[in-house]
Amino acid sequence: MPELHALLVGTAVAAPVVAFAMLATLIWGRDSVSERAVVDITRFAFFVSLVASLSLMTWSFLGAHSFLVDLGPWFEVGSHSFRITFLLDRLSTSLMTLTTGAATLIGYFSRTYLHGERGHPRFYLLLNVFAAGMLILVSAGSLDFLFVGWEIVGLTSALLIAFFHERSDPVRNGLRAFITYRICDVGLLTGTIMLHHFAHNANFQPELGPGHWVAGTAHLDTGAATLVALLFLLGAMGKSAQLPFGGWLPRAMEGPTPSSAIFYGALSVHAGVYLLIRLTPLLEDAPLASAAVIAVGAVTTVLGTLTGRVQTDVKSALAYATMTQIGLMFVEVGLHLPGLATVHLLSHATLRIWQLLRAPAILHEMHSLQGALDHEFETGRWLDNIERKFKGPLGAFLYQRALDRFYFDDIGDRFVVAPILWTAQRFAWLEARLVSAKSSGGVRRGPETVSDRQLEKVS
Amino acid sequence: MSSAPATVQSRGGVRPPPDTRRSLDRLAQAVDAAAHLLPGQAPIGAFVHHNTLHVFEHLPFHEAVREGHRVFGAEPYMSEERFRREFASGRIQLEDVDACLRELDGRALALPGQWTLGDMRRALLLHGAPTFDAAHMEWAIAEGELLNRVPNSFDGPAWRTRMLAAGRLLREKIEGEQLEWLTSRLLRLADQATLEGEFGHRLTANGLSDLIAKDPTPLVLRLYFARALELTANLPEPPAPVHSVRSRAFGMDPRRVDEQIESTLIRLCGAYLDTGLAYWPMPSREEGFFEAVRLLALHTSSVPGRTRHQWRETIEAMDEDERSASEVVLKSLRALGVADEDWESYLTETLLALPGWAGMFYRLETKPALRMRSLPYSLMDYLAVRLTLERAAVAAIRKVDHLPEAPSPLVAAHEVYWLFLLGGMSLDAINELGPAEGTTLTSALHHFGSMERRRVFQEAYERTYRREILDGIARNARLQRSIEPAKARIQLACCIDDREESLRRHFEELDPHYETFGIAGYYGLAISYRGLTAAHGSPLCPASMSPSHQISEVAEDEAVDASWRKRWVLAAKLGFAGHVGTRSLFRGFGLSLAGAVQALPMAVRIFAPRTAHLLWDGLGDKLAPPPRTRLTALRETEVLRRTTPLPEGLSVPEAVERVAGVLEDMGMTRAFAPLVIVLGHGSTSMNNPHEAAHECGACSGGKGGPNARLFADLLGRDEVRAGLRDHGIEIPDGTFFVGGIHDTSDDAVDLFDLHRVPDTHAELLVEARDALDRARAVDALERARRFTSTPLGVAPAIALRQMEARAQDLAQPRPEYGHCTNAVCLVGRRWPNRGLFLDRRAFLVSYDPAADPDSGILERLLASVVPVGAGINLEYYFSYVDQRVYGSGTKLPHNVTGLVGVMDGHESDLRTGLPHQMVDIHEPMRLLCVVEAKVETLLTIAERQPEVGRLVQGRWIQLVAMDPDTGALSVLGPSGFEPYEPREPLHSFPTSTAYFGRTRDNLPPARILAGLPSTEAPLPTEEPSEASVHA
Amino acid sequence: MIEILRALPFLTAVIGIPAFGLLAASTTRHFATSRRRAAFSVALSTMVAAVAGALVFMDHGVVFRDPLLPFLSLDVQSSVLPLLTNLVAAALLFLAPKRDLRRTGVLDVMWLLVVSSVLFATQHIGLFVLLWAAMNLPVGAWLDRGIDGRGHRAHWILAAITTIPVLAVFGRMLYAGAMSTALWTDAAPELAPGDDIILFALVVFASMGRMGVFPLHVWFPVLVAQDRAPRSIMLLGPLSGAYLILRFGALFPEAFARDLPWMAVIGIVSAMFFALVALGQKGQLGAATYLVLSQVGLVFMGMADTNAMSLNGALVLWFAQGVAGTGLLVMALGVRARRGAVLLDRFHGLVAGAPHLAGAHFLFGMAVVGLPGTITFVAEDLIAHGFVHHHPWLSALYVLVTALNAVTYLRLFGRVFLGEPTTGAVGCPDLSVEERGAAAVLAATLIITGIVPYPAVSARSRTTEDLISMECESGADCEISGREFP
Repeated sequence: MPELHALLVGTAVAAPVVAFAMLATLIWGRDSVSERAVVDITRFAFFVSLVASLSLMTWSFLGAHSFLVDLGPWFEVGSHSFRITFLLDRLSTSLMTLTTGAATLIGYFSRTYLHGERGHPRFYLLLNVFAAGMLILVSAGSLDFLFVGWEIVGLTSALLIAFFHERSDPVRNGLRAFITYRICDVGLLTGTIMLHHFAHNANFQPELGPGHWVAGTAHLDTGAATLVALLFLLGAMGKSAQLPFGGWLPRAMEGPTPSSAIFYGALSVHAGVYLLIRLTPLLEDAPLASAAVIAVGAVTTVLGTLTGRVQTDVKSALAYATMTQIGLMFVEVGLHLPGLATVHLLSHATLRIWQLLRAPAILHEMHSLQGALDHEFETGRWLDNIERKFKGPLGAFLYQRALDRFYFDDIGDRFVVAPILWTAQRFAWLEARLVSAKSSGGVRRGPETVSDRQLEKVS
Repeated sequence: MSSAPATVQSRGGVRPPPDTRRSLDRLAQAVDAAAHLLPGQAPIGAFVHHNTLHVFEHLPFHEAVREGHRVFGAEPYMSEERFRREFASGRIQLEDVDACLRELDGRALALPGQWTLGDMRRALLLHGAPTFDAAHMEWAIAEGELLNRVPNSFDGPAWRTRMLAAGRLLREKIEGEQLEWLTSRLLRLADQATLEGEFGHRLTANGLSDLIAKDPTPLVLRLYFARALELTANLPEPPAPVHSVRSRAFGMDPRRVDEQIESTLIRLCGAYLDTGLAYWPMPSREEGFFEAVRLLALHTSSVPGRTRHQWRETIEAMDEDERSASEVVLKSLRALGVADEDWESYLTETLLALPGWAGMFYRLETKPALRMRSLPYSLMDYLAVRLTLERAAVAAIRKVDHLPEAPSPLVAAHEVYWLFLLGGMSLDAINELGPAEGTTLTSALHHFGSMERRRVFQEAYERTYRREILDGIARNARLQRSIEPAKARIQLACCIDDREESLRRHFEELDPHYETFGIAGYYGLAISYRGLTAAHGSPLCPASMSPSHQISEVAEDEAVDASWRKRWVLAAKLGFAGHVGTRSLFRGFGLSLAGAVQALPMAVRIFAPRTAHLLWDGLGDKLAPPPRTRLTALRETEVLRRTTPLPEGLSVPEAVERVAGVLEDMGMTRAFAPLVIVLGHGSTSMNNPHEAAHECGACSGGKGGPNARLFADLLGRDEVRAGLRDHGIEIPDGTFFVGGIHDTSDDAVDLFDLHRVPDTHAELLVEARDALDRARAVDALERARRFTSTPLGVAPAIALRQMEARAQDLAQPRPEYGHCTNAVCLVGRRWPNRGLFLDRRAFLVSYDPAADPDSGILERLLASVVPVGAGINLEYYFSYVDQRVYGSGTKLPHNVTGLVGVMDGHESDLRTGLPHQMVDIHEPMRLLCVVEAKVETLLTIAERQPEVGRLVQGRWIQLVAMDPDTGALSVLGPSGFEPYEPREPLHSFPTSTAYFGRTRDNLPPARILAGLPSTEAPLPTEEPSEASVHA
Repeated sequence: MIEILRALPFLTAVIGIPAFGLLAASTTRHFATSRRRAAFSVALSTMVAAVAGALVFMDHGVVFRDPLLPFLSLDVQSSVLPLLTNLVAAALLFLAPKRDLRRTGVLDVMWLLVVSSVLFATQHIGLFVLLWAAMNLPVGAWLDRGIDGRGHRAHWILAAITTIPVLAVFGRMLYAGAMSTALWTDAAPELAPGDDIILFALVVFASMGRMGVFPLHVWFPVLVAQDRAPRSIMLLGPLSGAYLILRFGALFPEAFARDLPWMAVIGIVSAMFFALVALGQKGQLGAATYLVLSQVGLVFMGMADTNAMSLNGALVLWFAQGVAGTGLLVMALGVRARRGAVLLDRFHGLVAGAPHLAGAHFLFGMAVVGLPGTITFVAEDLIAHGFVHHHPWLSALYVLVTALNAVTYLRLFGRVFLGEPTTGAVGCPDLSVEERGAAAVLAATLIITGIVPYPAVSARSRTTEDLISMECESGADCEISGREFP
């Protein structure tokens, strides 16, 4: 039996990797690739992956609760061994099925949607990498391995946001998402390292709770658990677009609709929630960290829903709606209700992928609703939402704040990014002086004369 | 509802002093002038095709596209590279290129040697003139093979001989102790070590001799280039680029300012223009855009940076009585230091920074009918907001200068070098050139720059196609003239739309006794139509007209209606609640927990769209079966449901007048068949914000079914028929009219009010429906050949199913190709063109010259058809040649905003024009109008109808007259109409399917024999060969 | 005799073929031919060496020392390093723009390749020091008059800071009389307590110069900008001072085995400083240069900690950086050759004209900053985990530097290749088919070793085991090592 599980999970993860390798070779070798070949390779890989995931899920719900598959060390030095392990339980197999299911759906959807697009092969290439990364992320048996998937997902996400790279905005927004991810990944990576430091291991099982994933306790004292859990929270906040890091999410709606759907409706954006659900035992040992998770989720959900109400484009509205619900999931995890959070996650992902896929149809839908509801539609009176209670200056104030998204991005730009860039430029200036002084025998030159541009222009 | 007053008059009743008033007037003029350059696109739900460069329509076409290039930075034609590909594939033929070159003015330029200007232009056209910038030039010389090899495209024996001759010459020079002469030239290009590295030989007499013996090419080409450098050394420097008014006013690149403010501005515009996406509407919208923004700005925090802070301070500092938008604009212009005479240019540049949003304000301000909210829309408000933001940004940003790039001598030299190569000049020849001749070469090149080359290519491209299509028309007409038409049993009237061409052809192919007509799809009935499920009436008439009547669809049985309506509204409420609920907090929690139930419908919808649609529709019909309805056609029969400014239903005289006009236009005034089917058309597609652009253009982007239904309804009434009799139109009692609608996306044909068809016609109706079913299936097949997802040569039924699935497929950005291949417009009788395969590229307008002695009907027809056809054609042209400026780029990142338009991705300008997926197989050429009329008649009409005249004179369309008596063709050229003689034979095929079944490309005209009277003798053309089809 | 037969093919491959290539390349005046000859000799050498190496080291870890070639021998070290050097040299010869290779670049690279191959194989300290000094001499600068004063000075600075300390150490050891056999394994000198630390510090100083650790890096950016990139990249990459530390570290085991926080601090400061400098650069070439320097700082840092994980990580990272950094720099040089100075304050959209150039740039860039799936990721993981036990905060800083570098790289890539194409973007020529092939081989090396890192890591790990067991024998802090090698 264990061999079978190893085979299945290995196949599920390897199929998109192999498809990626095939596509990459195809694309690198020639100037134009047949769309059909690209789609067929991808479709086959996803199908294989889906079947493997489905069988694993069926098994996990019918039979034993959880199972650790160890494919052996990836590399090892002395006692440090980076083992490729998969933790298969109801949580991970459900998410594997969600991942492969969504990937299959998007792969099928995009074959016509992206037909004739110049980036067609690139999209499928990235979709395969993403699927592999996401599968590793949800099935990894240790945080080290999870991090591998986490990074891959982050990178493909940034690249797909910048899919339409002949315009500058998508590139800029892709970079913003990537920077946010990177800042928050420092939390995840440091957390993992700290966990190694405290617990000498970062496996989900048994270190972070033996047995079924909702039960069990971690073997850390409260202080260490709190520190580590807070670091992981940082990591989760970036990926799951929680405030104050959530500003990238609406900006991520630059790519083709199917990629928005799979990344920011369904999978990638829920990765943070998954991580926290996995770490429930750790959170149970760290009440302070749990409170922080609840606080982050609550703030995000309230401000997110307010911001979402003023969005006038369909994709940003959906982005904030997603952010709101994910905030609620954080609250659920913080309240130590991983079961509820899991159901919420799976169900929400299905809903959003559907809504984002049909986002362009909003015009059609709204017009037909308008036909039936007439002026009730225009006023929305019978819905009687909360924002209608805010009148006068308070209303204007809140509306203004919501329209400017509560300034989270601006604050980040002004108080984090700008100072770092400022420092970097000063350092670069220093370095230019150093280089010019050392290598020109101490002759001082003004900072502007030894700009990089001149260094480059020298011939 | 009022909007304009707020823009000019100040609030609070204080009259501004006279000099300010004068300034305000001048400002209003400047804004008005600038605003005309904005795109004229309406909210996207009411998409109407129009000439994208309407603002320059008073200019000739070629000048207008240049003007577009200057003002909008847009491409005027396809790229040269693309034209060259078309040339290689035979879509442009050499004889047409030559003919178009001959039409260019032969500027008296004496080129060196035997080279004529014509030769040079031809060589430039066929080989192009590669444009390098300085960096690329350096790469090509230092790293690339530019000076080591003759370009592949004209390498050949001639060049080898030339090189050998040059080698001999050089050896003589070396032996004649002229080594210094040689090396000094070479060293202009690179230092000695580099040259030796390239040659593999030393720069000595021996080394160079060895090199020449081996292969002189690298040496000779370097000498060519050195000579070119020498000749261009003294050319005057190109004029420094003129800075825009905005960059002068800001003291920096305006893009830096735009980057600062546009995100804020776009959000504000979106909030104001939103018509139902955000469910928290902008507060104080009814006060106007600027006022609403001002109130918000007072709450802005200065945390995000200095621009915001400045902005709030500027707005706070405004006096109570100086807050009218135009005064704010005036103040801002002064604060930015824009001189009075620069206002218009400054405002133009400002508006064109975000033309989509600005254009939407302007459109809604000037066309109240397009508004979906009664708010005061005003472009001046927009400008006031934008300029206050600009002022704030300019004050807040640190100015940084960018060093201008120094022009590289290599670039200028390369142009001359390229001419040396093109002209195949020998080393001797170029050494003998004087500086004056060098200048001549450069200026000859510049006078035939890329713009001119593309212009010639465009003309040649159109000419090649024109010959192809005119040959077909002329030959077919000649054959048709010898055959007597059969009496019609069923007549079918369709819209003039090019997409109906194939349906009509397939219908006619079924039986010689079937006859078809083409008429603008609103059937002369300018109505505002309110369907059973619509909240408001929407106009179903050309955009240039206003509806004159309100027509509603009402249930025949009130009780059934009420029960249906209750369920239907309930369903909509549930849907809306779900829509809002999933986006909110607490309801969203519940709904997203239940979201997994979506999985199954989603999977079915995506993997089997057609099945999903059938199931969903079936379910809807079961739960809320819609009642049987009728139209409020005639006024006295009407019960008013809603008060509208328009009269509900037509009066009998009105109906008679309009119906008679249409019948006369079509030439359907006698020989009525027992059954006449009248089809409107529309289009259904999923996930397609541009759906309206596929609908009937004559119905303002609506579905034309109701017009057809109304038309048939009116013609079925005795009182109308009696009125028609007074007009001299006698409709026999045995003739019955049926209205219907053709969906151009899934090829469904629905007929209305069939329960009214008398029993006498039941059999004929069955036949007609069967014929329509067969015709639409083949039509689907013909459309399917353009889509690579359907294999060639499938059965029509399968193609039809695929088209049905396509229309319902969420993943399908190309539900149909719309007018994508349009190129021709035929005005005239059907008979001469019957049997001609036109590949869905032609607008077909029925017109009978015999019934129009004073050509009044033709004038009326042309006045409406030519602008509409040209509008469609030109919108496709421009959207294709520049998808960035004129078109709206690829559909995939489109993001519906405020239900008024689409943005690219997260925050961008509103994109106007057609998306890439709608135009990607288009061949951009100006509409070729072939009118069955005398040459003189056409000239008179062009003179009398200003709009037609403008389009004809400016060559926005190509005009061809087809003599009604002889069938002779004359093409309008630069010097008037010239007779056209067909040359190519016309191939014939048994059916359309047999012809188009083998290829996805555009097809030349052919004669289709099916459906022609069988008395016809076998056709005198040869059997088609495979090669001729693909040629 | 058998040993000779087993070692000979390998030595022929790594020394003989390049030497022949050097000769062949120097006999023609035609640059393209010269480059082709050199490139193909290196490619051949790499292939033969890879096959021969695989055959020789089936039972890996054996040190061959045979009577016929007393001063040359093979161990794991000298088998992998020449391969790496070959790979880097091939990358430079195939992919570097003409302007960087034209004057003396081809011969420089070949010369360094031959000299270093002997250096890796020599067991004689004197010969080693001699070769080390020869490598530092700016031969190319002498041959070439096109370089300006700054460039000359940079050459000499490099030569001085890397040669003098090594000569001093060698002199001191001769004085101590420890050089009876002059072979590495027998050479441990008898020194007064404390002297070994001074000597080791000198060695570290020399290696800092060669590795481009702050503030001894100044030669590198100057020479890269001045068309002397190939030689500099070779010296900074595979031939870097890391090797010096390894070799001499074995001579001063106690000094080496000490916890060297100052070395780690210098490394991380250097890495952090260059990370920020890279972010603040205005031009793409400068940003790429400093990005590589920052990552090299991490190698240096990794060498400071003497537990198996980080040392191992440092060695793997050294190799990974050698290949990936070379790839990235060569692509950056290619961008400069095509478009001149490309400034990062706006988008250039070069991918429109050169998709393959962009793709290769991206792969190498991602390998430099440690994308999972490349060998760099493995190395960085090892270093981070190695440090956490001794210096958790250094390890956190380390993570920060890697995060920053990734951001810098993606920004660099976005600005250069993406965004609205500038008018010149269509005029950015792509990689030729030959260059594509070379880039693919290089990228494949990074990715294949990244996905299957076991051989690479275990090969390194043997070296580290040797080093660490040495430390344990000499009584250094073996507690941790003890735990790690049960």
